Amino acid sequence: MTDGIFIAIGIFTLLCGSSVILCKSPVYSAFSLILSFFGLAGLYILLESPFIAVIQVLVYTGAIVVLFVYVVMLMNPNSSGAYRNWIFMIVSAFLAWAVSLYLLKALTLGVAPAVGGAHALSLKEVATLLFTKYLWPFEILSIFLVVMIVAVFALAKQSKETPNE
Amino acid sequence: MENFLPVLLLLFFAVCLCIGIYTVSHILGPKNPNASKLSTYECGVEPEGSARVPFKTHFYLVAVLFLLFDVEGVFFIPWAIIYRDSLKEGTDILIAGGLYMALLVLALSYIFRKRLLRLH
Amino acid sequence: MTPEMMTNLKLFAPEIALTFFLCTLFVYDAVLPSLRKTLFPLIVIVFGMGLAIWATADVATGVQTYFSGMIANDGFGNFFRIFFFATAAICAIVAYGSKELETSGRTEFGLLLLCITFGLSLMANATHLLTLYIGIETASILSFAMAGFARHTLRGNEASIKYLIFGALSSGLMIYGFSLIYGYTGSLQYAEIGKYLTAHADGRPLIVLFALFLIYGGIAYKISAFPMHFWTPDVYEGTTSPVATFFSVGPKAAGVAALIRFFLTACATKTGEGVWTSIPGLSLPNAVAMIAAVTMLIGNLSAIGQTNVKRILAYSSIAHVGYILMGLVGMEKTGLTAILFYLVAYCLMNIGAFWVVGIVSDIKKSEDLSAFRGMGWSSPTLGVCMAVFLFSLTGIPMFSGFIGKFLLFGALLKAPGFLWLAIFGVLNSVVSLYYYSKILKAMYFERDEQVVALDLLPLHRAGLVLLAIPTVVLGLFFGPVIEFAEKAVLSFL
Repeated sequence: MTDGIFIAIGIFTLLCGSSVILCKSPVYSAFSLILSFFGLAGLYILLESPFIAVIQVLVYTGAIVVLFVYVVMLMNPNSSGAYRNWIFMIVSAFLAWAVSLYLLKALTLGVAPAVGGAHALSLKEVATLLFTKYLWPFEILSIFLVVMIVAVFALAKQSKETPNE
Repeated sequence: MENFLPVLLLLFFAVCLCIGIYTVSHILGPKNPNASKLSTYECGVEPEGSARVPFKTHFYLVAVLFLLFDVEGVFFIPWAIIYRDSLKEGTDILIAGGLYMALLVLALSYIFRKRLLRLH
Repeated sequence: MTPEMMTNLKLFAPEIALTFFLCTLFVYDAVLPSLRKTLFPLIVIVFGMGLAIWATADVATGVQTYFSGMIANDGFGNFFRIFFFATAAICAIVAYGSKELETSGRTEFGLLLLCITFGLSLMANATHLLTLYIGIETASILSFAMAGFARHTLRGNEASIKYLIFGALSSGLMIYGFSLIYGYTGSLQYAEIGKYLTAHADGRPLIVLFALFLIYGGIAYKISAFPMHFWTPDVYEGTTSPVATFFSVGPKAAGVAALIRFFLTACATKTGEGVWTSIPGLSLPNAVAMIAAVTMLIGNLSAIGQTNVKRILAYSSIAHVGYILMGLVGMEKTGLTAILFYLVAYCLMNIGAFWVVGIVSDIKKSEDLSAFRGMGWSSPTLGVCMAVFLFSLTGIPMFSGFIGKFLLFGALLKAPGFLWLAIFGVLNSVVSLYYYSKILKAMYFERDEQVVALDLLPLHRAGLVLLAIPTVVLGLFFGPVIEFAEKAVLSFL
């Protein structure tokens, strides 16, 4: 049953991902990206990490796709006038899937995953780990976020006409 | 993980409902297009010009800043869950979260001082 | 505050000092914007770096890794910390003398520089893949922003976007490699990865090699080694000169340190005092030798036909990475000492060369070879210093570059079966003489039609001379630096 759901969500995600590339209108591509992120969130839930799934929807779909759509609106690209050969595109997408599947199978021949691997961590356990063992990377990342704002300001202010004294 | 099966079913039914309604209206609806039916509706006024006008790139900056603070909020969620219980063993986690919050308040005050959120 | 936390914070003191000055500059920039136009940010940066270097010298010993095994505390890491802080201070001074970064851009440059240095120091000290990733991403993403400072030119835009897109691609591949290694070995710590790989040496699936190759690809992007070297000329040409100065030294040294730490800890075992052997099945020396040879070749051959001096220096920096990687082939302390010495010498001469290019492009508004015509005569200080830097880069005797190359070739000859690489390196140095002397020819043997009187700021004169003197002195009195480097290598975890 879990396998069936995994296959269904997996195929859905792959289809949406391919449609990001294959769609003529860039807005359709952005919305296919949203759907593929939802599919990814479903895959995270299958891997028993609901926290990551929720973060995926919140941050990726909620903020990053907004940036994508902004760029599409700013660029205002026309759908390309040249007619693209659908059959060629679908066949090449299928070949890409097949090759990567084969590659993954060939590379992982004989792999026994390490003992002590993943077990399901509840949100409380993740939170405790984040604030005890991994506290230091967490604080480093906050400094990084602070300086990111400076970086964003440095890149953006040159496009504003009003000077900042 | 079994708790999420209802969520999946809900999503599936929602999508099916939308597709179903759209398909049914497409099949059952009459198709008599004419020029005025197909023109864009703009509150009874004749639309003039293109719908795509260049807009200020400053909006993009606001969206990027939203992204940064969204990520900050995401890290607040686990802290909010455990800090109440951790107060029994001392104030370590409270201080850690407080330091994180202080750094981001610093960032927010930088944004305010630099007037990055002003659109004019 | 547990005592363990106190030790951790004490060991992290240099970076905490850095963060403190970062926050000070940040707050002052927001609260008193009128200070941006003065030298205040420069003073903050230089003072902060000085304090951080002093704090590094004071770090306690006896603790091997701290912050629950994420960072290493050894002489190797401290060497690189001092290197990055000094490089950042010098690059801040270079930026303050440059007209390309207009006055209002300098504070942001300073803030980004401080945080990139923080990320570089994390990269060099990481013993956990998470720390390595945080270091690489902090350094990379802020470098994308720093590369975009010259946004008003087409080349500047192109540089920033190229750097961003390919950098994001290589970071994505690298973290895919991290996740594959984690899935296979069950741990992200270098030491435990090494133990697992040694214990399961037979029947190793191909995916491990694939993952290690991806991790190498991500780090190779930062140091512009083959196959991820293609962004270097376009980005160095498109950004402002002070930014290119920092890029050519800082991330390269950090990437080399990260490469050495990861591959010697996770893919090799320590079999003696300063000697490593690779795990059976992962032949590190051959792979590194091939990569070093191809990188050198690409860097030197591509530089021959260039007319833009910044592109020449960019390709030459690719070639120098090839030379540096030669020191890793032997996997023992002479090679690593040679790498550390070469990095110090390379830092001085490369910052000097890029600074000269920056000064010339500020005055003549062009970075072509034709802008250098007659520079040697119209400004003797500039000419002599540039000649010193270029001779040192080529590897002419009695300069520090020669000593560095000599040490690298010597370490290479100690490893059996790599004579071909040493000969190849010598031939490449001869080829590099051609394009370095093209610049010298333009400076001394060609005359400019209109003689423009060059006024160099006293800052420029003093700075260039202060960089040229150690370049010469290190070629003659190289003992102390080599001893320091050797001690650093011997204390490597």
